[in-house]
Amino acid sequence: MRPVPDYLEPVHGWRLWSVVDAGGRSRLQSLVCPSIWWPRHELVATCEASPRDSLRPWRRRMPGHAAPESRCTCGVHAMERVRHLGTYVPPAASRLVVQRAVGRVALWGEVIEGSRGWRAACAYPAEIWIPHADLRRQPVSELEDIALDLADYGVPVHICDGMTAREVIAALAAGSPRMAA
Amino acid sequence: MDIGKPLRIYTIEPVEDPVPRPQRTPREEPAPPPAPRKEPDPAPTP
Repeated sequence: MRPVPDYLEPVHGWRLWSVVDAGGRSRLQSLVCPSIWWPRHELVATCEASPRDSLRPWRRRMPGHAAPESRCTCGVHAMERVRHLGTYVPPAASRLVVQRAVGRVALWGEVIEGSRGWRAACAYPAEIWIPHADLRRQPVSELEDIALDLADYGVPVHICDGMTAREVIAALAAGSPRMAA
Repeated sequence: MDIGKPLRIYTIEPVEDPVPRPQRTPREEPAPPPAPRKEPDPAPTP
């Protein structure tokens, strides 16, 4: 007999992704682990525990369990407030140049709620904003190509021309109408 | 990402699929076989 779910609607949080090339198309990739979020398929969390984690006890990863596990750090992460994403944007002085995407994400399945966000078993993007890369002001046509590829996810995609990831996050946090769908 | 202090655990089973699945092209359904012809009732014999 299946357990009765607590809720029937997904919870929505905020995430940052890297935009990477996968098979010739731009795709979303998690920042911490190299999981590609494939269009039209939910991302199902797995615990990526590895032996080297035993050298980093503060990560508290426990191999061999379904994600998310309360005593671990696994699961698909999302923040409750978009402004909390600012921590994960490389500083302007960083030499790392990666195309980022900011997004709202639907979370469901087993969900662990924290004071600032969630860890969930399943996730899928609900809305995507594409800023300019922080240091590299690529041509708008390149952003349009990325947006066209990301449209494969079947959710609203917004090009934030001339805005860095930090500026996109700040505008979303301020509820700027410019960012509305 | 640091989601902060764990507060509670719950299960969400969405009624509507949060994933916009690829639309399948509807297959052409084969035409149903023709209904068997009903033989006329034999005329009653006097």
